[in-house]
Amino acid sequence: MIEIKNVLHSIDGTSLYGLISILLFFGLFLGLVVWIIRLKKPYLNKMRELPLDDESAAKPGVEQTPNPEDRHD
Amino acid sequence: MYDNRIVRAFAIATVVWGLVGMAAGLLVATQLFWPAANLNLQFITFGRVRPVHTNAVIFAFVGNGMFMGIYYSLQRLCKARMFSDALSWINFWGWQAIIVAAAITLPLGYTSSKEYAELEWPIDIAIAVVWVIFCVNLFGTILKRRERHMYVSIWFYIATALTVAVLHIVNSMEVPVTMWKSYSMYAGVQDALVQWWYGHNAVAFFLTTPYLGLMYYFLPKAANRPVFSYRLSIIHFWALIFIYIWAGPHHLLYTALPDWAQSLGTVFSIMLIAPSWGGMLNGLLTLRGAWDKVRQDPMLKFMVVAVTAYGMATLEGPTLALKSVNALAHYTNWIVAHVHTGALGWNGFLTFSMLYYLFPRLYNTKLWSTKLANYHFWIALLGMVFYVVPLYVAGVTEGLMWKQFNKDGFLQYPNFLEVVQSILPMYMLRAVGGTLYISGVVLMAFNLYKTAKSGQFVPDQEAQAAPLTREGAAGDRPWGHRWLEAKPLTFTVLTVVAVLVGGLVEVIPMWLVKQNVPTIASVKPWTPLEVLGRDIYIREGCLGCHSQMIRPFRSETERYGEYSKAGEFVFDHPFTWGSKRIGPDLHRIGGKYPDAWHYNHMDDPRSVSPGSIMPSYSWLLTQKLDLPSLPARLKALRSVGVPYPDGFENGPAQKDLEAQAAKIVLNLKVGLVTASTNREIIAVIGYLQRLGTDIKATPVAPPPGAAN
Repeated sequence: MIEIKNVLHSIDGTSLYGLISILLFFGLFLGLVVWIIRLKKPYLNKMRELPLDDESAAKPGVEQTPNPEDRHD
Repeated sequence: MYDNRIVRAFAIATVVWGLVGMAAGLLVATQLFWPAANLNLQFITFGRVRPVHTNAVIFAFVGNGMFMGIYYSLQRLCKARMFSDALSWINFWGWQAIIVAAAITLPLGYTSSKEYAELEWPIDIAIAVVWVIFCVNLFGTILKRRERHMYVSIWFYIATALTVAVLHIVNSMEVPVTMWKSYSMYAGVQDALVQWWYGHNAVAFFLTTPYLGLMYYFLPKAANRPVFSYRLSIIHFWALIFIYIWAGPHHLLYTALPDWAQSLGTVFSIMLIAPSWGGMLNGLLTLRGAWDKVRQDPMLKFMVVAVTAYGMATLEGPTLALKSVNALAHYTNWIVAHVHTGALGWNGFLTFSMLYYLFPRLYNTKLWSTKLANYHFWIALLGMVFYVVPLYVAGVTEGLMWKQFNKDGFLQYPNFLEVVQSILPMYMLRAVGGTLYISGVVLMAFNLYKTAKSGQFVPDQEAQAAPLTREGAAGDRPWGHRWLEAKPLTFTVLTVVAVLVGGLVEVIPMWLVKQNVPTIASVKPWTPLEVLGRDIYIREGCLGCHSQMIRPFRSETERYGEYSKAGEFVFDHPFTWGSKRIGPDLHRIGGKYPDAWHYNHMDDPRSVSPGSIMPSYSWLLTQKLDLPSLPARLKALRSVGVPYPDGFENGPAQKDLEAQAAKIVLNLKVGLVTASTNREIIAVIGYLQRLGTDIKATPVAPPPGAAN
């Protein structure tokens, strides 16, 4: 059976790890935000409509035509 | 053709188990102000039934609700039938079998005591198998989809599937002792961290992410409006799944968990407000221009309250994760109130919303009674208020009373029972709230049944979509998230990475860096008698009411003794810190009362503690100890690192046990109690009298031959 042994007595350099972490996190987050801002409107509209455009039968009392005035990002 | 049969099956299971789980909740709520409701029956004591309630509402009610919604929406979003009907039905029946196994084993006392992971190892294996089957069915359907781009709901389903698998496997690392007993591979503070990394992320990835995915499908469908902002859904998805994982330590603030881990838990819990509210706002703002529909459609009423309750709970949670607030709230009913804002409001109401949406469509008819659905809505809302508000009052009251000092510097309420008595009216009001809530569910069940009877079930629904062509036309090459949404496997890998980071950063240093768990020389393993006693403590669910973690506050050291240190728990497989003080903390109960007091207290708590709400445990006085299982227990503990000497279990352990038991029997005689050494109560007394005493002992040279 595995026994988890303590490999290190204590850990140094935590402030450096913290700095690397915050830079990495912030960098990735910023990158993601940039990607998101650069997404094109037509694509976004198509994606938003995905759950609304299924042509399945049997929709009791629910109108299916989406309102074109609801384009918003 | 979309498979509706499987959706109907999960829907019915959702309603049935919802009623069962909530009834169990009502039982335990009643037992708190009316101990006679324990009926002096070991199988239905609070400690054994509380996990039945939590497991039923989380895994049976929300679990089936999740599968119901996912199986319905995934097919329509992928424009494809589920990958395999066979796997769908194995998922369904396997899950129900697990629930039934839980309902049987938990009252029997087969429990690991780890919250929301109480089920013993054979069921843990079954959960892993069924979950893998669900994952295969989920990914198989995504891979055969006819809609190239994965809508936001699908990202949430993927994150759920993967993360739940990781959480379950890591937290369930246990070594079997007998068919229905195992010991956690982890011990003490390490076990606490793994448990609450799991526990909080069970909330995150079982109760939140799948339901966010479902919200993103059902809310736009019902409102007939596209989601407010697709961009927002992308950013809040990635932020949520990355940040949520780190929040686990907020369950362990001011405990023996190292400070750096506590701080990480707090900071990431605060950051979590942003992506959580992103989801809430996206949902609510989708209804812009459609609020008149909310007035008419009960399904939308439930959905709006669900999303709002989600917002409330995700602001309250981070607030409770602040150390200063947590210092007051931890172990109190405020936490229970918080849980139920989310559980009754977000999970409950969203499930009801889905059910009211689905049944008319599955049966190609209208809802049998909109009026009844509206009654359900208002009764359930009232039920929520009557549940949560009394518990806020109770939580703050007891938190403050525990901390109150008089002008002479002594505890104002040194008798714990005084606090218990003053919040009993709140327990009663909470039970009223719960009764209202479950009554609403009964109305719903009736309404849905009549809807089904008045309609014609549609077993398979037409799907119309052209098969996917290979994307590769010249010119328009998608990039970024748009590219990612067309690549489910890459998406999956990135999700796994995002989800693993927090866990690794918090858990690995706890395993590998010795300084995080300072050992104490005088702390020794549990004796054989105490091992049996501890396992009985776990079996009876004593953790449901009693904590074993004294925080470094003067109000606690005055009441309970020296605050608890990490090194005291190194041999505790699993840890038993508890999370609630319905009764007092027990970490330093050792030596406080004579053996005979414990004997009488277990037999009839009110005979020594007037006003106590603890159930009687008189069967401990008559049931015989499971001595034949002792060698297996000691061997298993040795295998996870407890330093029992070799061969200890083949004779020396039994002698040690007899000697210790004989001493206790002698002590009991002094207290005018006659007992035999082989009764369970002897072991329980041995265990309780050892609790917290090791740090007071002066280190003694170990006997020759000990493996210490």
